[in-house]
Amino acid sequence: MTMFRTGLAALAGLMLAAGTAGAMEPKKGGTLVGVWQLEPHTLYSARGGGSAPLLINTKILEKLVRQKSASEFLPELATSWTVSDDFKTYTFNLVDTTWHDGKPFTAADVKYTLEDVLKKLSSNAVFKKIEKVETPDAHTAVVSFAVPSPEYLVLASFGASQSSIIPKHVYDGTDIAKNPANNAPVGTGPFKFKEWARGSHVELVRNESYWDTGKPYLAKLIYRFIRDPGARAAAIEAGEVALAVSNPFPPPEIQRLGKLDSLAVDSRGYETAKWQMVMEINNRNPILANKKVRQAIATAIDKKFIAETIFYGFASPATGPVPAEQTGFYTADVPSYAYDPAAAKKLLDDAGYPAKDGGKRFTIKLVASPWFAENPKTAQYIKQSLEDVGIGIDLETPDRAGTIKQIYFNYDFDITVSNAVASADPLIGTTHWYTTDGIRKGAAFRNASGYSNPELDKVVAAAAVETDPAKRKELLAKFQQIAMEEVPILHLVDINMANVVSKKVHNYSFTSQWMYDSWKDLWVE
Amino acid sequence: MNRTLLAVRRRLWQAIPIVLGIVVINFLLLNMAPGDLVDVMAAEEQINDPDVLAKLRADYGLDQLLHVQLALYVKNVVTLDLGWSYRHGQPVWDVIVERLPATLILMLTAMALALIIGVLAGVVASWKVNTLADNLISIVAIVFFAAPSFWIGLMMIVLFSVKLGWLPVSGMTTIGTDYGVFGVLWDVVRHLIMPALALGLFYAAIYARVMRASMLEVYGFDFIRTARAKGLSESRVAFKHVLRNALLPVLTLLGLQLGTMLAGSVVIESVFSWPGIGTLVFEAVLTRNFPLVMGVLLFGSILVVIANLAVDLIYMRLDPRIELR
Repeated sequence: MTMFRTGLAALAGLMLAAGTAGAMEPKKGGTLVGVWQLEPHTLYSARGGGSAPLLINTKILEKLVRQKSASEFLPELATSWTVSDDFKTYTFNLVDTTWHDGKPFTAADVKYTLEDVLKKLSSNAVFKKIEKVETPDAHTAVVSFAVPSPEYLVLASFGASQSSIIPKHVYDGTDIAKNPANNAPVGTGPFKFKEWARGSHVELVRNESYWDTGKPYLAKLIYRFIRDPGARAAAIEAGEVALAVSNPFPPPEIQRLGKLDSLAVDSRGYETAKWQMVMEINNRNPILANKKVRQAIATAIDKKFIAETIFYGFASPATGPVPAEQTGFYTADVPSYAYDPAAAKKLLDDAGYPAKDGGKRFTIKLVASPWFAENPKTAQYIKQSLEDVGIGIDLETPDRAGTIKQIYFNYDFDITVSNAVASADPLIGTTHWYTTDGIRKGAAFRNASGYSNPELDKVVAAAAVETDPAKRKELLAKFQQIAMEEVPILHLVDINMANVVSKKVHNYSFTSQWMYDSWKDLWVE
Repeated sequence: MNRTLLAVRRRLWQAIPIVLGIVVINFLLLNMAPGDLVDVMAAEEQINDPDVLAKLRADYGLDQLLHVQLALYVKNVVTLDLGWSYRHGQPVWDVIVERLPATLILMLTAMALALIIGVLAGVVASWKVNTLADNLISIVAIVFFAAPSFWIGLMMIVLFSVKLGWLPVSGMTTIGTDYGVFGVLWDVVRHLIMPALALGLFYAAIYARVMRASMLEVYGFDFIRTARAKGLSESRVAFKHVLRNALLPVLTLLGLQLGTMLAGSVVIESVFSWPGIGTLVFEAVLTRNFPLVMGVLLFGSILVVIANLAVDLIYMRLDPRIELR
């Protein structure tokens, strides 16, 4: 079977979508000032480096493909691609363009990025399975995998925010982590790096020789860094910034700003980059190694309360590790734990932990991470809920570095409040929270629960090489069922991130991880 | 004057053990915090290979015993090498020097505003003691003394930037524009007004109260009666005789408070996104970038030592009876 997609058809689709979204003709020129809370430590990191560098460098660098939705990809550096019948060989036809420093972009850059950067440094297992990349001519890259690789998984990996192609002539032979271009990236994208004023802002300017003729629309794109949420809200209200992404303000503030005539609130654009709030349950604790106790904890917590009261509706109760927006994989057919304190008490009694004098059964340590303001609040609520069913809670809220050390390095917790991101495919960011090979001491945001189940490992391993989408969906449904039956990690809510945007800004939020899109379609009045 | 110079030199020599003591205490305190920079890096960069983590720790010298790390750090500081800030990919010295001017502008402006407003308010209050003006000044001073500076800052932003649109919300310059030299200067001044006031008003409140009490005290002294008996005008008495003597306690406070003002600027710089060392050190603590934190603290301690020396010299000018020893 051979699949072939032309870029033109997809582009036409995109233009149609954009056309219906805004009836106005895109205007060229103008400056857009966006705001972000934390100044990045670098503008490019081969390992990703977190939201701040990715938000900025995805406008300068480009990926092979662009994720449009949970099921569709658009061309970016690859104008088209074909897949071999055994799903081991992917051939990418590349666009004819130049790097921002004038050197030509060729297949050698793709080969270098895949073999020497992503294969070695990425935490995504797909890149580890690359056997070789061949370059029959300057504009063709043939990627061979050691095992059959599902098309959606491969394209989602190549279209992920961390998978930007970097220039070989700049990086080859240097220490990638210390290359000066990390702080002044050279890319092929619609915007060129101009200036980084430390402590203040990063300025990007239009790439006049961008391959997608006529784009980008903006002349300048500026990111300002404002740490204080109140000051951020004031800046957008006063019109000094026009775009703030990823729940930039506390929810009540977003609701207030959304009522202003000058601003719009939009929560599209996060379908394949969904933030989740999770509770890791330490299976090393013999009490918590008991499935009934974990199920009791799940039953004692009202997820709806967290979504509606703590998040002011900017979240929805999670039904499992895969959010509903991942339409290709989501299943609602999983064991669920409706809020029922009486049932939770009974489960704990059955598990052999009856309430002793004073009503307590046992006491555990809850470590709440501080990176979202809602996390410590949720931890307070969980403490109350679990104490209501007789589980004593010692609540600790260390700072960022302390949390990471305590949860992911020392495993010094019983339960946590932390966060995960559900990427385009569960195998990219989700399954390693559950699998045995996800346990890596000192590596954050992986299996810290110490949970190990050969059956689950087998299902995930099969999904990594199953190339029939229907069968793969079944395998991943099985994964979700085991995960929810066993609850080594309890997914609490899926966070509905919102963008707050000036009404003068158009063409935003229309791809499924838009924050990391190249923003070449964005324009301002 | 020679004796003064000698005294200054002696004071500077005495500062060396003090600063070194501060360096050692800083180092030990910071290392008591859980987690190190490699933990933070590991989380941000999704490094999941224990060997890579061990190599990173070795690279940054974090695998050494604490006292070895300390000895190495002190040795480097003595040779003016403050270490490497991995997050900036630059030497700590360069990172600090790049951001120091912004903080100095903010601190000095805030200090000057605090002195001018505080001293004037104190003088007026002591002139009109127990009148409506005196009471009003006291009430306003108590408000600014009690209200947290970040809250004052945010309220000023809401009023002057969002509602009235007179002043820019935050930052130090208007980004993406080119105004020419004088235009840029004016632009910076416009950005500076609110953060300098937010930082300075707390101190202005203290100085107003101290100045009022101090002025009233000096008014009661015999030499003031003598001055009046000589037939000097009331304003000459106030400015030439009372003010000069009454300033001494305010100056003492000023010298002591330069250090706390540096701490205050961390908060104010955060609220106003002022690109100084306050925001820098805040981020450095959160990311366990200890070489940078220690570098900033070292700069801070040197600043306080120098400021106190300067205050002592000004004392001598105001009151020739005081000698520097």
